[in-house]
Amino acid sequence: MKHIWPIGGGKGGAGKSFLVSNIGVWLAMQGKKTLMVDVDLGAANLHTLVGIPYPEKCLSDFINKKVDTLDETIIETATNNLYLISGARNNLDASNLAYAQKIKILRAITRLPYEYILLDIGAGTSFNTIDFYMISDYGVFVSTPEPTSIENVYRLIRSIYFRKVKQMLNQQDFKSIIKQAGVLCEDSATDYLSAILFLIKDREPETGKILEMTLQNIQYRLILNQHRKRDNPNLGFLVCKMVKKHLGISIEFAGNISFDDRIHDAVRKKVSFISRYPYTRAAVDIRELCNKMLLMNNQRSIAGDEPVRVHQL
Amino acid sequence: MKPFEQQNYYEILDISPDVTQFEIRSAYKTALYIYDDGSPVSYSFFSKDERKKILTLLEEAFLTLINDQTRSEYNRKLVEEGVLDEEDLSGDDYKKPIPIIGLKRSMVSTHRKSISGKLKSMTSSSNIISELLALDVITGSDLRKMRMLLEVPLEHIAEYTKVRINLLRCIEENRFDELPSTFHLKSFLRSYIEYFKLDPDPFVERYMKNVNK
Repeated sequence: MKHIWPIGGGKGGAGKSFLVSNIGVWLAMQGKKTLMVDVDLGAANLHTLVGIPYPEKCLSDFINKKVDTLDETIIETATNNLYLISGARNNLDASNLAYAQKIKILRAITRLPYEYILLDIGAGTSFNTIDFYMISDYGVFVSTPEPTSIENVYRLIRSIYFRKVKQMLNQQDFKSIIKQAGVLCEDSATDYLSAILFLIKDREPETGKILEMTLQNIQYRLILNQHRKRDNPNLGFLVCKMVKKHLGISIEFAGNISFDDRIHDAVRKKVSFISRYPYTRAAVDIRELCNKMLLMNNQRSIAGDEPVRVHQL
Repeated sequence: MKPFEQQNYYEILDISPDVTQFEIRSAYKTALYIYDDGSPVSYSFFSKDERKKILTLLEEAFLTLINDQTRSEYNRKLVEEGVLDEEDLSGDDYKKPIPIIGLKRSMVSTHRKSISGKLKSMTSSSNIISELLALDVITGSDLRKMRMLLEVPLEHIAEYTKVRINLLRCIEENRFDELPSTFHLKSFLRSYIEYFKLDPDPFVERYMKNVNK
């Protein structure tokens, strides 16, 4: 069964690329055929973190039709079972892709034959980040315990929700619904997104039902990186509780990763952190995190839920 | 998932309907930590108005549930609306903390109450008591037999009479010379018989005949 994990998080510098590279290394060391795709189109970093400063091929080669298929852009890494599609020599205007090109990439990604595909998504809440979350029902968010980061994660989740809704309705209906929702919110201080859902269920019950089901199928995970001793270890759990209670999106807290100065050293040396410093607190946290995520996914499939589907794009 | 305003008080505080007051207080404390103005958890999640509304609702929920009377009224309302089942509520006596101080005494006294019940049922049928009284002499082993029939452990008698347990054992095993004096013996014996809610005099009389032999 294929697993596609979009790993992003809104705030820049939270540790998304860092975690993608280390989770990738860990999965590969467990014998899983893993592919990491750097879809941070304008600010690609993944190649540096796995020690490939001069990748021969990159994602833009596929976009520019230098190669015919996406798997011709895949390169091997120093770790067995671990592969990379780099963004190192992307076009200088790669961040401003046409919609059709983006769909082409997304479709191609979902067809690649790997057990785990990790997407390193960039910062911010532009379509370039949000659209990669549309690819599956599963998603990972990386944040730090700082309020700035938390605020950006909330914003990202809401933006994804908003985009899913937009994709389900035609343009006219969507425009009128958000207008009404805006009015409803001012009057009764309701949450904007709950207002939208309520209005859709009211005006178009069929679509409303499908939307609700789509939202219920979502499974997100939250990781809090750069956890320092003074931070509240329960923060991640409470943030997930907040999202579940007020947005109705199913999100589970996956773990805290301790802050470690040696991570800075590993990045400077351009090596993967858990290979170079495997006995640090942070490395232990990363391994624990990976185990927990696999366990949570297994529990979900054992419980009879449908395994996370890759949407037909 | 219902929007926040439509959730009932238990759902808002994330508790089940049969929790204790302590848990309600604790849940409210957690909720305040989460929804308070400076909280890192809900930073940027709500507008000022939304937050105010939520805090008001939480306070309302807490004040209703923390008072037993308003809580049962609220529960009844929920049952009428079909939200709660009758079974979810353990009547109107919610779990209260177990009183430590009164514990030991009550154990013995409830047991003793059951004795008299047993005794009454035993006296109605052919019983060991009248048999004992028919005897001219009663020994410690007779007393022991009676005690075992009524299924009373010696510890209970010791607790109730405040007589040390080994002294009571001496009485039952006819080792009366180990007791300090005849006065003590008689007095312990009386207490022992009084535990069974019987008239001690005939028993003491017959036991002393045994002693004097």
